[in-house]
Amino acid sequence: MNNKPKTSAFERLKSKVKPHDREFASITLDIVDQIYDILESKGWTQKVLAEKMGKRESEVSRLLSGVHNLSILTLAKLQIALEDTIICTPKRYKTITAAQTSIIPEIPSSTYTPSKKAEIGESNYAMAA
Amino acid sequence: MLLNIYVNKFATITLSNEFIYPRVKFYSVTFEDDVSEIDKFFEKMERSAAESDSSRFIALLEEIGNHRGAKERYFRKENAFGALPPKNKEIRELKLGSFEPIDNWRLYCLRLSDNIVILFNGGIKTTDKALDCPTVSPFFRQAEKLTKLIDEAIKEGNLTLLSGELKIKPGFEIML
Repeated sequence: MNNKPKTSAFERLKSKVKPHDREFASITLDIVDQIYDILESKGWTQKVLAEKMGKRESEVSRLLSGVHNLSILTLAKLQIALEDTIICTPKRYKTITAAQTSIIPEIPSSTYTPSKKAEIGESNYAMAA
Repeated sequence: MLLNIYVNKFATITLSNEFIYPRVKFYSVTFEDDVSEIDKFFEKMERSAAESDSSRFIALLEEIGNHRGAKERYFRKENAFGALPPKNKEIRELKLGSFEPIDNWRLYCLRLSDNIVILFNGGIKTTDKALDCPTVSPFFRQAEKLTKLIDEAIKEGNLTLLSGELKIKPGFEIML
């Protein structure tokens, strides 16, 4: 007699989900959320973005569906249209923040004193803006 | 002589443990003495979808359930449902969308909030418009009917949207 509990199709399929598909879902929804945050901060709609990209709104909607495998070229076009950064590698981020620290005027009351002189690629300010 | 007999079908809103996630509870609909509509969908997917497709599909469902919440942006609104009147303030956000992780698979659902989604059934869409597709059009129509009935049930107080869960009045059934 087989006493094994009956599993559902969902459970069986779930056990076969590939780690790279979980990573894909995470990355792609990060990108979608970032794009929506930028649109919201600019007060733009998907329609405005579509106009700036010279595409139909339905095409942009598909790009932002969270399941579209966005190419680097498409991401570049989106960044140009949005006039903002969607993705940034950790190395690039360090360079940008290091560059920002050099142009931020010093305010004595809020100046962080590093224990050593910052080198290129290092940031003294975690989120200098 | 032709007899035209309508037999009402009854359904309940159900929630299986396997569809309870930290950020989202994915409910479904179960007709009398049957498995839930979402179980039928995944049984179909297990039989006929490529393993890579079902893997991506479930990975996305789990990412939303575990980490993101069912944000409106993740659901595609079906044009045919755009005309649904938002009569009740509480259900102004009602939208029926097709969850579209992979090219031709469609899972019709009703997103009630960031934490509550009711998953219906679906299949592989073979035409541009869902209503023209012999495979998914019955599920599309079923989803449309269920959405209207759930809308009424919310207005009548048989279903209440609480933060993070759906309160179902004991004994409540949907009559189709």
